[in-house]
Amino acid sequence: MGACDAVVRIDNLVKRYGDLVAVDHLSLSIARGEVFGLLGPNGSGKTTTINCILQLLSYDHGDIQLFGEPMRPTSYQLKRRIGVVPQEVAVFDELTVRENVDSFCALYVGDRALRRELVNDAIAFVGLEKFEGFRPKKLSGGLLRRLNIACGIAHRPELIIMDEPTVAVDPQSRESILSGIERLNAEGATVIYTSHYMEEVERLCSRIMIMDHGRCVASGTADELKGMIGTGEKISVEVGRMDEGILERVRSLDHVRTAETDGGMLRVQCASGAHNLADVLGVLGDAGLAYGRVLSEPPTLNDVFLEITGRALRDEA
Amino acid sequence: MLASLRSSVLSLVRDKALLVWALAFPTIMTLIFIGMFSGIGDAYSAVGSTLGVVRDANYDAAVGLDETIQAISDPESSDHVCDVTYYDDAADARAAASMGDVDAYLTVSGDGTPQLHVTQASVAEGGSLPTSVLSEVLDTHLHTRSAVERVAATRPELLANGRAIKAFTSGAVKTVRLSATKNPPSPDARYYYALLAMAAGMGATAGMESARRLLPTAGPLGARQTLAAVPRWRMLVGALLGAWLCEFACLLVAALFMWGAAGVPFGDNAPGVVGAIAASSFMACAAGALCGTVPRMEAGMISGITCLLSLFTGLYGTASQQLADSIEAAMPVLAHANPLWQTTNCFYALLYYDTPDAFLASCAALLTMAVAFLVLASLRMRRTSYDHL
Amino acid sequence: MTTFRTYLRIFLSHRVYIAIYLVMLSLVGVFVGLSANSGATGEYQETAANVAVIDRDGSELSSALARRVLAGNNRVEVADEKRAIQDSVARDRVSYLLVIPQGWGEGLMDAARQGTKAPELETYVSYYSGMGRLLDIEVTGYADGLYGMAATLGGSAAEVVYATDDAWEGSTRVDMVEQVTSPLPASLVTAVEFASYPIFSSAMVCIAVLMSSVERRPVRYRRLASPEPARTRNLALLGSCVTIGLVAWAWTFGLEVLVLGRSALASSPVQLALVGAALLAYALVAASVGFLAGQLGVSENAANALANILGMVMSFLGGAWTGLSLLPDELIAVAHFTPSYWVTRVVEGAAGMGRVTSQNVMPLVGDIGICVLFGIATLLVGLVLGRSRGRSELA
Repeated sequence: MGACDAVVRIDNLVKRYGDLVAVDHLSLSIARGEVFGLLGPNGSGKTTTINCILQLLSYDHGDIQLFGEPMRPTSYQLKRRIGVVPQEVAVFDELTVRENVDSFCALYVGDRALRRELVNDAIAFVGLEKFEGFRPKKLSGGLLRRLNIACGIAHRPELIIMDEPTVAVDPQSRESILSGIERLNAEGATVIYTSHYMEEVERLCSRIMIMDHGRCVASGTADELKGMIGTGEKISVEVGRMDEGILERVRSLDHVRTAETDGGMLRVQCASGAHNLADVLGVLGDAGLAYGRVLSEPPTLNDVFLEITGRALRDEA
Repeated sequence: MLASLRSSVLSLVRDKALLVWALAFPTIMTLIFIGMFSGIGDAYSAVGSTLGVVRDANYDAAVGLDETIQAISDPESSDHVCDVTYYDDAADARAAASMGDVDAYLTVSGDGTPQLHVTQASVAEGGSLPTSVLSEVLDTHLHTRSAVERVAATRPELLANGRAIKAFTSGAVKTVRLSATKNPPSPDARYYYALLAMAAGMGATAGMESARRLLPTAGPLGARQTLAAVPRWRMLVGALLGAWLCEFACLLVAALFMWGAAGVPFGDNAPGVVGAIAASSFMACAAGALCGTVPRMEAGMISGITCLLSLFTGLYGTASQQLADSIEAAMPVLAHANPLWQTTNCFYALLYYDTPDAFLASCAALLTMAVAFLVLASLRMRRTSYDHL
Repeated sequence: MTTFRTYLRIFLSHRVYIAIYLVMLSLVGVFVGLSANSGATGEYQETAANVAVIDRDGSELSSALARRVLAGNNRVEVADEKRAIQDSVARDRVSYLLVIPQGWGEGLMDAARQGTKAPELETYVSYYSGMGRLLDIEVTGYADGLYGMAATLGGSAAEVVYATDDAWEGSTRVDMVEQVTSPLPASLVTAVEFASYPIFSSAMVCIAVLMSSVERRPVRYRRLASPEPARTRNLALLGSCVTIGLVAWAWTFGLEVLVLGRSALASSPVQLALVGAALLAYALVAASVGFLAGQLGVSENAANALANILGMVMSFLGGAWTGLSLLPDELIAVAHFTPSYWVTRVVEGAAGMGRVTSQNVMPLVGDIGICVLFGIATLLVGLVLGRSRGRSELA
C-alpha cells in the first residue's frame, strides 16, 4: 500500500483538551476502496479524530493528508470530495426531504441540472421517493436516518465518513443502510465507519481499528483481530447434573481457560487456535455422562472488543 | 400530585421563560413607564403655549382685549394659559412663528375680530388643545363684548355706570369640581393594569409547557409520564397547580414592584388585589393548558395572541385606548370576552368603585373562562391519549 | 445563492411568527393609526372634547347651557347614576361631565336680579384636566353671559337665552401658518411611530429563529465539513437578515402608506420618503439585532421574549406611545441611545416640515444616518462574536 494510494493519512496526531489527551500520537492510513471501521468505547477519541480529519477542530500536533494533499480548514477542493454523515440527524426541520438533500448537495455541486439528477439518485438510493415532500418531523427514526445519509452522499463523494449511522433504526432500515454502504463502496467510495454494532463492522469493514484513550490499541482485519486475543471458541453442553470431579477433569484439559456449570449447562471457554470440542466431549463420554445439545461458537468481534478495552463500565467520569 | 407539582415548579423556575415573561417583562416595562409618566401627568393638565401678539392699531382699538390677554398671561394667576411676546407687525410675528419662537400669534382685523395663526409644528407636537384654550378665551372675550354692546344699545345708562360690564365679568357663576370615584382617576393606572394583564397572558406559556410535558404525543418525557402509576388527572392538576403557583408569585412580585416603585394606585383592598392576580394567573394557566393540547401551538403564538388581546386593553397608548373604548361601547360582549380585559377590569373595579360587585363579576368571569379552558383541555387530552395508544 | 435561498425557505416556513409579529402587529398599528385623530392636514381643527351633560334642572336656561356646551364637542350619553358617572370619568370616556343641579335656572335668575352669586354648577373631570380647563372656560363664559343678560336686560328666561345666544354668535378665527407643502396625515404619523414595534419584533424574532435553525449543532457540523467557504456562508446569512428586514419594512410601511398615506404620496413625497428611509434604517437595525441574537445562540423562546420586550421598549423610548415632548429629560437622554428615538425625530420632523429645503431635510438625513450607525455597530459586534466562536465550539 503506497503512500500515493492512501486516501487518508494521519501521522502522529495529538489533540488535547486542557490536561485531557483526547487523541494521543495516532497514526493511520486508509487506502482507496477500503471500508475502514473505527471502533472504541465512548470517549475513546473516535469522533475527535474524525473532526480533526475534517479540520473542524484544530489539533496540537500531527499531520493529516487527504488524497495525498495536506488538509487545511480552507481546503475546499478536498472537502468537495468528502461526504459526512454525522451521528446526530443533521437536517433542516423546516425543509422537505427533497429540499434538504438539495440544499446540502448545493454546498458541493453548483450546477443545477446536474444537482437535480444527483438529488434524484440520492433519494432513490436511500429509498425515500415516496417521502420527497415530507418534512423531517413526519418521518420515522429509520427514514430520518436514511435522509441523513442521503444528505451526506448526494454529491457522490470519494471519501464518506459515517459516524454511527444506524443508531436506533429497525432491522429493515439497518439492512437497507448497510447494503447501501456496500453498494457505495462497490462503486468506488472509500468509507470510514464508526459504530458500536460489532456485527455491522464485521460485515462491512475490510479493516478495523480499535481506539481507546486516544490511542490505536489494535488494528487489522476482523480475523486478524480475533487472532490477537486469547479467547477462542466457547463450548456449551447440556449435561443435567454433573459432579465436581468431572468438571475438574474438563478444566485440566490443555486449551481450556475456564469451565463451569450453570443450571444443567456446562460452559467452557477455550484459548484461541485449537479445536477443543472433541476433547471436552471425550472427557464427558469417558465419565459415562449422557449429554444433550452441544453448541460451539467461534469468538466474535464483541469478545475482541471487550477483551482489548476491558469490561469496566465507561462514561464514569 | 405533590411530586408533579414540585417537578413543574422546578422546571419552570429553571427554564426561566416564565420568569422572563411574568416577572422581568413587567418589571422592565414598569421602569420605562415610570419615566414616561413622570412627564405625562403634566401633559394631561398642560394647556400652556407661547403666544405672539401683534400690537397694532387694530389691537389697541379692541376694547378689553389687552386686559384679557394680560389676565391669561399673568404667570402668578391660576388663569395662566400662555406666555406672551409682543410684535410690532404681522411680518415679525410670522417670522417668529416660523422660527418656532412662538406656537401661535394673534392679529386683530379692522372690525376688531381676533385671529389666531397656529404653526403646524406646535400642533404636531402638543396637539390642538392649547390653541383651543386660547381661542376659547378669545371667544369669551368676543361674546362678552358683543353682549355688552347689545345691552348698551338698549340701555346705554348701564354701560355708563359700569353695571353692564360688571354683570358679565364678575364671574357670578362658578363650577365646583366633584370626585366621582373612590380614588381620583389616574391616567397611568390603565397602562399598568394592561401591562399586568399582558404579563399574565404571556404567563400562559407556563401552563402550556406544564401541560405539554404530560402529553404522550409530545415526546419521550410525555410518554414516560403517561405511563406513570398515577392517574393522569392528578398529574395534570399537580403540574397546573405548579404553573399557577409560579405565575401567581411572579405577578404578585411585579404588582408589588409597580405599587412600591412606580406608586401605581391599587386602591385600599389588598386582599382583593391578591385575589385578582390569583384569578387572572389561574385563567392564564388554564388557557395555557388548553393551548398545550394543541400540537401545533408554539410559545410564539401565545405571545402573539396576548399582544393582540392587549390592544383591546389599551396598552399601546391613547389611540389603542380609544379603540378599546369604542369597541367596548359598541360591542360590550366582544370586549368582555377578552380575558385580558377582565383582568384589567378587576384592578380597575377595585380602584374606582365603592361596591365590590364589578370586581366580583370580573373575577367570576375569569374563573368561568378558566373552568371552560380546563374542561376543553381535559377533553382534548383524553382524545389525544386514546389517539396515541 | 442556494444557501441564501435555503435560508429564505426556512424563514418562510415559520409562518406563525410572520403572521403574528409582522402581519398582525402591523395591522394593530394601522388600527391605532385609524383611531388616532386624523384631521385633514393644513387646516386647523378645534379640539373636540368628549362631553356629557346631566341636566337635573330641565329649565329653559339649563337646556340652553347644555346645548351650548355640547355644540362643537362630542356628546356622550351618561346616565344619572353613580356607577355610570364613575365609569365615564375613570376611563376618560368623557373628559368633562357637567351636572346642572335642580333649580339652577331659577336660582340664576333670582341671583341676577338680586346681584348675588348664582348657584354652582357641578363638574366631574377625568384625568385629562387640561380638557376640563377648556370646557370650564366655555361653560362659565356662557353661564356668565346668561347671568349678565338677566341682570341687565332682564325679562323671561326665554328672552335671556335668546339675547345671550345672539351675542354668542361668531368666534375667533384660527388658521394655520401657511405652509408650502402639506405635511403627513396624523393617522399615518401615529401608525408609523407604532411601526417600530412590529418591524423590530418581527425582524428580530424571524432572524433569531432562522439562525437557531441554521446554527443547530449537527446542521452546523455538516455545513462546516462542506467545501462552502465561510465567507459565502456568512454572506448568505447576512443577505437573509437584510432581506427579512426589508420584508418587514416593505410590508409594514407599504401597508401604512396604502391605508393611511395615499394622499401624502402626491402632496408631500419628500416627507414621506424621509419617513420611509428612517423606517428602513430602523428595519436594518432590527435585522442586525436579530443577527446578533442568533450569533449569541439565543434560543427560540428567549428570542421571542427578547423581540417583544426590546420591541416595546424601543417603541416606548422612541415616543410611539406618548410623544417625545412629553418624556422627561432623563428619559430623553436615555432614549438617545435607542435607534427608535432617531426614527421618531425624523418622523416628527417630517410631519411638521412646512417647507422642503435642504436646511430642513439635512438634519433629518443626519438622524437617519445615526440610526444606520446603530445597525452597523450591532452588526459588527455580531460578526466579531461569530468569528470568535468559530471552530472551537464544535469540540
